[in-house]
Amino acid sequence: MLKIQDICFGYDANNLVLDRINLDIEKGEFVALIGPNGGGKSTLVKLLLGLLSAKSGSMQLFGGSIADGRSRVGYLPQYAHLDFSYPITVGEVVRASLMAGNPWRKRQKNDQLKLQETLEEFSLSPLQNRPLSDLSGGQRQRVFLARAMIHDPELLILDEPTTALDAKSENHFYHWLQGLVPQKTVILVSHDLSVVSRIATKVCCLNKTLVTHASGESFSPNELDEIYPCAVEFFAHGHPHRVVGHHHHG
Amino acid sequence: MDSLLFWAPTIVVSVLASILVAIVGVFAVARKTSYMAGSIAHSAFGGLGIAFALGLSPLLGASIFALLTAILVIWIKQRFKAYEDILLNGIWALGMAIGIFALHLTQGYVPDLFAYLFGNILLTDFYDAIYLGIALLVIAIFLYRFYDLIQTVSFDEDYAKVLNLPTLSVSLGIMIALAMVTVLLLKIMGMILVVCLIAIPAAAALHLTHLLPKALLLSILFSLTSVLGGTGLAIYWDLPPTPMIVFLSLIILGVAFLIKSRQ
Repeated sequence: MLKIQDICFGYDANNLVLDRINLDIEKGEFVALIGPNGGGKSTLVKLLLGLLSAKSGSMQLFGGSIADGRSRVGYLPQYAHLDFSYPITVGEVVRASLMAGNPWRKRQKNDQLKLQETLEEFSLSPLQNRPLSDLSGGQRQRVFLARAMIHDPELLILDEPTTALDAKSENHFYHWLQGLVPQKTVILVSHDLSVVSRIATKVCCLNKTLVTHASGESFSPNELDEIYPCAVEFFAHGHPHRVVGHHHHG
Repeated sequence: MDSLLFWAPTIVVSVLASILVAIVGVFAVARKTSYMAGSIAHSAFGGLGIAFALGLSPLLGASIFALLTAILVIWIKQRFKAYEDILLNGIWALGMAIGIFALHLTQGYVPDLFAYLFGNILLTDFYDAIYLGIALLVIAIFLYRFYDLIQTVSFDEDYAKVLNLPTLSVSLGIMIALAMVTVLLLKIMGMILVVCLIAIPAAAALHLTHLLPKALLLSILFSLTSVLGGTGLAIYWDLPPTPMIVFLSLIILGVAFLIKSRQ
């Protein structure tokens, strides 16, 4: 489904953010992508969506080019860069994905039905005509999830999807996500190793290079020392959740 | 009756111009690109100067320069994001410099460029109304047909790229609409008023609502009030209309801020 071969990326020639990344993802897999801030997780996601261009290496999505396949992906970005004062409603944001791969498409009869069903699924129906600026962080996260799901994508790429969610919503979210596999393939970028190691079929740890483990196997302290430059504390809900490795500075 | 016929072109042109500038303004302000109207208007000034120097139609000269600037602005935004403000100021100054330089070289009659800076909404005819009417119709059709596309690209360009939507064409289309409206209104309203009316009524509307259809209606209302009210006051007190329109639009913006701060 997704094949990444020897991908290198850097914003300047002497400073690689990603160095020779290789990764194969099969249909129905649940892949978790973990790693420290600045380790290249979001960069890798942007590369495999064609939002950035790799310096070298090749990628295949659904057996073809990234440009041909990416409209079949459901993508939940980190949305800190977005301007929420832009005048757009919840319904308009969610409906956007129905144009996937076909920008000149006119609105169709069953679009409204599809929108209603999706809004219902994410408990957003009463908010359909509200501007996005009126919503809380958690509600916006649900809007972007609904947008990623409305066009029934085969592959779902979620970049730190639980940052704006409270503990209860987070549990509910992970439960829902588990239910999608194996019908859908999932790539989840997360900091929460305790959760992802429980639900993912493959855990990839990224800090410039990539170390991959099948779920259930733990990363050795040496590996974690190499990947994370300091003591590894995974934060959940705003406080330390689990310390899985130590590195002594001296 | 005679008086009404005398003022009819001014009233029709004022109404059409106010609506046009209000609609384009909402998208320019919401997309945080209203300052680009300044660069486009000043570069059009360069086109006017060259057209006068070569004995060509001023509208043609201004249109070509405005279009090229719209394309250049998009290119700068894509390729030189970090230097965007410096480069746009450069275009701004270059447009004026070319205009003044070309006029200096113009043989014979030198037109009053002051009119293009400050315009004169009282000196319009029905041809202006026809041009504005066509522009309004074209923009309304595009807006109706491509509403979802424009909204998606304007709100989240990266996501629009993932959906394989033509983000560059949409951004360019909006910038060209902005350029064409600026050129059409240059002779009628003048550069200062065009830049003011693209930004201020739309900013007041978007300060009061984040629903696009409501923002469009409010922006049109504020623009009409500024233009018709300012022109009316100018006629009544025998004053130049441009400053009166600018003052009135700024008062509306102030009131909008006051209303919002009390909510």
